[in-house]
Amino acid sequence: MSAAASTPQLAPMHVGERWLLRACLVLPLAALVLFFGVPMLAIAWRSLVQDGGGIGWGNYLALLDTPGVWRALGHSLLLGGATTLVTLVLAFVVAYGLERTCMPGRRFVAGALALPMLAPSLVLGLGLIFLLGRNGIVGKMLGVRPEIYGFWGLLIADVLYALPQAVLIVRTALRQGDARQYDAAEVLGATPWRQFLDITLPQARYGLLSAGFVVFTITITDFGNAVVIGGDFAVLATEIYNQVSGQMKFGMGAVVGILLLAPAALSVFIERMAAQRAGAGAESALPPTPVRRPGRDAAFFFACMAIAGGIAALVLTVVLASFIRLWPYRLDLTLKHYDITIAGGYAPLWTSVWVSALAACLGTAMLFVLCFGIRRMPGRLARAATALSALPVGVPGLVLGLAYVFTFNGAPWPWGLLYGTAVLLALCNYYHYHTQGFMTMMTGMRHVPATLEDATTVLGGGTGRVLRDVYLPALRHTLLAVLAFLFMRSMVTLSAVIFLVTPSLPMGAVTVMRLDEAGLTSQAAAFSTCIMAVVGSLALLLHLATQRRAAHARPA
Amino acid sequence: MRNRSSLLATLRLLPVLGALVCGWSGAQAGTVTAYTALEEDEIKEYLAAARKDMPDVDVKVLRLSTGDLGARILAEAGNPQHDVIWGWALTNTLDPRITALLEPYQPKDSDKLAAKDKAADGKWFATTGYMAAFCVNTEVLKAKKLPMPTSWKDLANSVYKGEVVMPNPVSSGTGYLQIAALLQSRGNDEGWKLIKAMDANVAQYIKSGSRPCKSARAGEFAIGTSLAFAAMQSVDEGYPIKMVIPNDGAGYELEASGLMAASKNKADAKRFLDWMLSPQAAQLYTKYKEIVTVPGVPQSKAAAAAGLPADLSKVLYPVDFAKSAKDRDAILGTWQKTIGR
Amino acid sequence: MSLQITELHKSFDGQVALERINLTVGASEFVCLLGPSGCGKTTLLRIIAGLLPCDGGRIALGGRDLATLPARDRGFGIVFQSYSLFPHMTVAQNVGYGLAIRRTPPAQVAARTAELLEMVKLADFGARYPAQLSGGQQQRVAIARALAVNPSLLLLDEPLSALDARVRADLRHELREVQRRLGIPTIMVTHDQEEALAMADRIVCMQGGRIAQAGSPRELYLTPRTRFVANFMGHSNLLSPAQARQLLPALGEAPHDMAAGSALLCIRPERLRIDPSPQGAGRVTGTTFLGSIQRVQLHWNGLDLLAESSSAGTWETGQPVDVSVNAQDCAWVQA
Repeated sequence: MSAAASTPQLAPMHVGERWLLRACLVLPLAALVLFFGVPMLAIAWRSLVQDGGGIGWGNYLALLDTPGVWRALGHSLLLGGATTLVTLVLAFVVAYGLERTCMPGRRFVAGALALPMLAPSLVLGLGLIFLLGRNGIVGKMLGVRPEIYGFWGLLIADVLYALPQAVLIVRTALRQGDARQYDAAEVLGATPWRQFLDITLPQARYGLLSAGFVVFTITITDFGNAVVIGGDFAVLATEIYNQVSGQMKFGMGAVVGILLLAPAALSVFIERMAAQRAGAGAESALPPTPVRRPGRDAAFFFACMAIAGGIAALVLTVVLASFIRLWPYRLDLTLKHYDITIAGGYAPLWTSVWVSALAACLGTAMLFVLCFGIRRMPGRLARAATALSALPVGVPGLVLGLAYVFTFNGAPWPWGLLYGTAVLLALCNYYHYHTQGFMTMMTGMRHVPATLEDATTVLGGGTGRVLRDVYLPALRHTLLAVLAFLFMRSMVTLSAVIFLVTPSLPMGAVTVMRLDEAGLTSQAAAFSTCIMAVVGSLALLLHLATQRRAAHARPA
Repeated sequence: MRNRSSLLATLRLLPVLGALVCGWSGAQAGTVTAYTALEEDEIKEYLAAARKDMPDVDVKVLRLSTGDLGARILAEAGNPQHDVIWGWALTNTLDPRITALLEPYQPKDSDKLAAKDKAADGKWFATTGYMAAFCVNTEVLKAKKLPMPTSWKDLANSVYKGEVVMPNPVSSGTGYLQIAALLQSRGNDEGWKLIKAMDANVAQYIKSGSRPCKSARAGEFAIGTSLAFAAMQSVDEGYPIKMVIPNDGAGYELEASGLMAASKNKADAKRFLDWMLSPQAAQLYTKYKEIVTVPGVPQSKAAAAAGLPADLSKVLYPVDFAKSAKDRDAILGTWQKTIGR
Repeated sequence: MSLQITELHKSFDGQVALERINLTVGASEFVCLLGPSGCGKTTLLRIIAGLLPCDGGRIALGGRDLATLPARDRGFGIVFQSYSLFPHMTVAQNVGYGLAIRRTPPAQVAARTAELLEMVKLADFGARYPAQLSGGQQQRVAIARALAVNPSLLLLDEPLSALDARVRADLRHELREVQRRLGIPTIMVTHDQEEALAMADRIVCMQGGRIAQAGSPRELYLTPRTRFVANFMGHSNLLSPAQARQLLPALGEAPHDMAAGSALLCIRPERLRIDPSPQGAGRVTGTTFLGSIQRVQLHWNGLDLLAESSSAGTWETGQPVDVSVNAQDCAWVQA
């Protein structure tokens, strides 16, 4: 980074420049405070509003007397820990297979891994029930009635849900390798196994840690999977749901929500400390090119195919079920489930696309400007922004959606105007995933060559030029990645939007929930397939666009 | 470039946003926003009929499950966004925080309703009701050679161990109405004893009220206690399901509607509420719900299919909904302590 | 033990990277592979190390064929331009890594590590991490790490290129000292001819995948065989035979093995004598003061020449000079 973190002083610049830079940092920060900080305060306030009226710690005290909540907390921690362990092992196997071996079918594995991100989490649960339920395909084939509900089903569903994100992080870590270290070790006499233990693992250490904390946090805040396949295994997220939807007790719900923040905040804090110690990779590091090794490649091929195949089978089962007349009794194929006329028909799908596009564009633009501001103006404000940006990941969507209702419904002009609009919905979806977007953008920013920035400045370029000619080209990949991520998440997220949809502003994920609740499971599967198709097409388009740009950028 | 183009894109959308914002304010004449927990099929058909009968009124509907709806209404209590509550579980409607939001309004023809089907202070009235029923998967019964259950007491029979699923009363209104009915009809001691006995056979307490039926019809479990509507729908679609209304006190719930005090279009909202009691609407109710409070309609299709007598008061235990609403916290607390999973 | 390479060749996707490489590195000899980027010197080094397979030819160490021996069994040592130390291990752990792999008892490892750190003048740095060291210090650790296992051959891939000038000069000297003391045959890849001249016993000048000329520094500098080698080893004045005869009427014929008409006479700047003379055929066109010497550009007989003289003399632009040279100070090179 060009400026030393400890000196808040900036090099001399035009007054206009300075204000532009300040705006870059202050405006997104203000938005973060308004659209995340204030709603969180509203929730904290609610947790103090007691049932019988009055303000106090009544709800917190009641917590001590509710065995259900402590049991749910224990369950959440157990589930979080188990999921993290399993996911890290699987993610490392897949990431290593994709980055460091010559195993065949890498594109299939990478593609299959993206599938769980394309659909509402309902799809994973449904697929598991279709496949592994008591009356599922596998059960029928083997003649058993496996017990998929409860801890084990939830574990599988959460692992599949978290795996794509974990693999992404570990792959990035593995790409930071230095081929020459392996050469040095090779010549010194180290076997491939020793090289793995002494070079690969330690180097991937921080990537694994970072992935671990992301997995833990998104598991304990997840609500969709727990509802579908959790069975009687109560977790904190469903506990909030019980309080808020089951018993209409917002105070208790808010308390449980805040309880949930603690492990999430802790894990993010620890990860941040670890990341600082990890440091950056060597300037001239060359990532190692994989060498063909039949034995190892075959082993990884089978392992990765099993994982990828499992995921693909799950999702494809749901797609298939959308075409089957009456699962599991009448297995002929039909298109009738695609004729959806209730719950708003297909209109919510297009509303979702439009809201998600808004969330993606707004979110990417704000993240870009915010990270640029933090980089160029290090100091107290930047540190505050970084700290605040780490919090949204620990807030379950349900709590965030509720918080938005409390904050913006009936709020004074002009904020009150936002309630019930697509903009607010888009902002809610963006801020729900702000942390992940922020981390990706900051990582990308670190790779912007500081010397190029300096050269442009000396040549006479102001902040605008630097943004346009240095940052945007260098960050193209990152920007597209964040854009795609926010779009995909916004299309499929459910828990936050339940409280913000209106008759004129329906969302696709809510429709899936409504269809499923109405007992029209096959229609829910059909609608989910449509969502997956839309999201998948966009992901593919963006992927092709980056490939083409990369091809153009390659020297002739 | 991207920065500017996304900025431009957003700017271009402002007029559209403006339209959405204005559209939201709901002060337009002729628009009524209704929050409802009625079934999707019902909503579609009722709205079509309402549009025919009142072409100048545009009814916009937000449908959420019983529990979610309550949370939404309460969350927005400071500045409600809807004009009427339409067809929502009475037990939930009776929560004092909700009734505080309602304005008394007695629609035309409401004097035809029995006293128990409307509020004394005119804040709500019930047009329909639903009963609890078992969804029994005949294929699974056959495969496992189990007898057909006919009553709640039957469910305590140990042959059904692990094959029964019930809704979780803490999160599901249906679940609550089932145990509330048991407790009121049998008294606390006997009621809890039966609930505990059944608990031994229950494989899971499922979050939503309709999912036990879905699990049963997919063959995951033999018996799912749910709503009559869910059972009927499964039979209609062709699943191997038999609907069984327990003969020892089927629980039931009334569905209430009311006018919101903060409504911005009270004139049209009142017309809509009036329409709910009209004979055309009542005819439609018989297609979907077993209990229709509007007199002068033939027995509902569903009740006939279940083999219920025309006069339902013979089989329904007269549930005291006010008591049910008041005791809710205590009952759920006890449930969580004794059964709680 | 000596290394013998016979008729080695290597291609990448149809592009020839190395062709007809024949090379011998004697015991204790310091050989430099010198050439511009893309000439194949690093490829050759990696093949020798065993990190890259060759397409044909023979590599033998002390008579033993290395073709089937994987890199980790060859017992060589390698140092890279980018140091490539293990970032999460201390300096001592880095140096002792090779020994630890060979399951040497810890006491022995510690002793050897201390010995080597002493040798590279980093005796107190054992507990530090690579990130805490400067570039020069890191490279010394890398060298110590390579030497720890008593390699039978030391391979250096542009080890000094990433260092700044002062450090480079010091390390150049130390590296040579250590190598001389230990007597390990060494191959170093570099593109800096001054480095090669200072350190090597023998220089192998490479161009386009082939060996252009191999010999002692003196040979390559004073008697280059091709124009490429002449230009690469330092400044050279190249004269056609006709022009050469103008300068040296008594010059003999070009050697027979050079294709007729493509021979050039190479004269090193410091061998070109210039004397101020009013009738001189040469004209001074510019001077560059380099501290210990002076470079004088002059125009003679339609040619631009470069001469070197001590910094004591003063040369004016436009000054007429006499240009002369001794016959034995010239060399014929292939154009």
